[in-house]
Amino acid sequence: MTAFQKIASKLKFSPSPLAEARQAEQRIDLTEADDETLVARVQDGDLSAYDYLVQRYKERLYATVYHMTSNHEDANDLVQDAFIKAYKSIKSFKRESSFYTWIYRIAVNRTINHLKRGKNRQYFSLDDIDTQIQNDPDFVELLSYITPRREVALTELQEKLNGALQKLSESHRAVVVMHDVQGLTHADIAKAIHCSEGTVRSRLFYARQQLQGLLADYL
Amino acid sequence: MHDFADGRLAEPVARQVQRHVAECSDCRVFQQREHRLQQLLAVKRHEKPGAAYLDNFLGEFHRRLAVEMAPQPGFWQQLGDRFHRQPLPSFRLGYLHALGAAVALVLIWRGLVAIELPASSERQDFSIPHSTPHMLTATLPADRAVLPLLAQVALNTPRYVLDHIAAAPVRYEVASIHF
Repeated sequence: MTAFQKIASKLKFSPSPLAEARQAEQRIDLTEADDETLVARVQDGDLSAYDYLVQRYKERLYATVYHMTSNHEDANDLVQDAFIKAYKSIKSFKRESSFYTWIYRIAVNRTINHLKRGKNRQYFSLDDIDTQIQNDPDFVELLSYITPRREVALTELQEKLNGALQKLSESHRAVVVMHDVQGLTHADIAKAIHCSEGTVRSRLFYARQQLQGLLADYL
Repeated sequence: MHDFADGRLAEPVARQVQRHVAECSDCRVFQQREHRLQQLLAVKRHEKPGAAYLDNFLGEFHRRLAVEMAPQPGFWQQLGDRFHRQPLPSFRLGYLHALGAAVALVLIWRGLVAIELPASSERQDFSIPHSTPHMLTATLPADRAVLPLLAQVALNTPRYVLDHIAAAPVRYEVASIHF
């Protein structure tokens, strides 16, 4: 702001149409801005830049947390908490990793802690299944294997799958969701939950064994 | 086998494992079950919330952030807020409460004064009948109105209760209580 603008704001003079036009030109559309630019603006005090980050990553974070909780109300609350915590800590974010990696870690750890404290809702609140699943070759192949033996509805598969995942411990469920559902590498998972790659692999091995037992009817 | 299923093995090793799986039925079954488990887990990738479920996410975030960032009230303000949330009873109700409390105090005081032991210097034994083979005695100073009600209770306690609380069949005495 120029000196005149500062004085004018203090004396509550309304800005001239010319000044308003200049301010409008200076408002940058940050939709295409990269994460580093947005984070820098947020660290300088521009909350509106953080809105772009929220809009950009809310769905991916929601999906991760939902897969771990199988409850969309819990997932919504936890993702909101993650964004709030990240905003409050944004000034200490050193940009050693990407913003998404950083907030992903926050969301996963908050979810694991939330589940360990037993504060999650004790019922499923499952999202709908996208109709595009009918075109997924993996699903078509699986269904062709199962249905000759027994009739199975998609909702039954979804409930059994979520039920089996909920029977795993929080840490085992987290690695299965991150690796087998979301496709993260062992190294990324190890960074997200602060453990070694060896630990990730052993948890994955154990979790898959458990799931094979729990879902034997469909395998 | 997990690394093979995940495609993490180097090419030469993967070929060797592939040859082994073709020959070993157990490993082949294991690999097939792993493959189907991955296909089943892939169903979760198609789970999505309703179209408008996250539309108001940003608004909700701003609302929650405003609550989080609001300055916390100080101790005295919190104390004042607590009284405001729990309003004190009206004057009339408070008057009745105070009167009731005063009446209760007077009755208790009168009750204490009424309970007096006989002004005798002799020690009195309050033996508990029916409690064979042992006996509990309580020796109380006669000039103090100490625990007379408890002794009376002991006298009136049925035998089967006393027998239940009986310990080893030895005689013992409670030490005298001096105030």
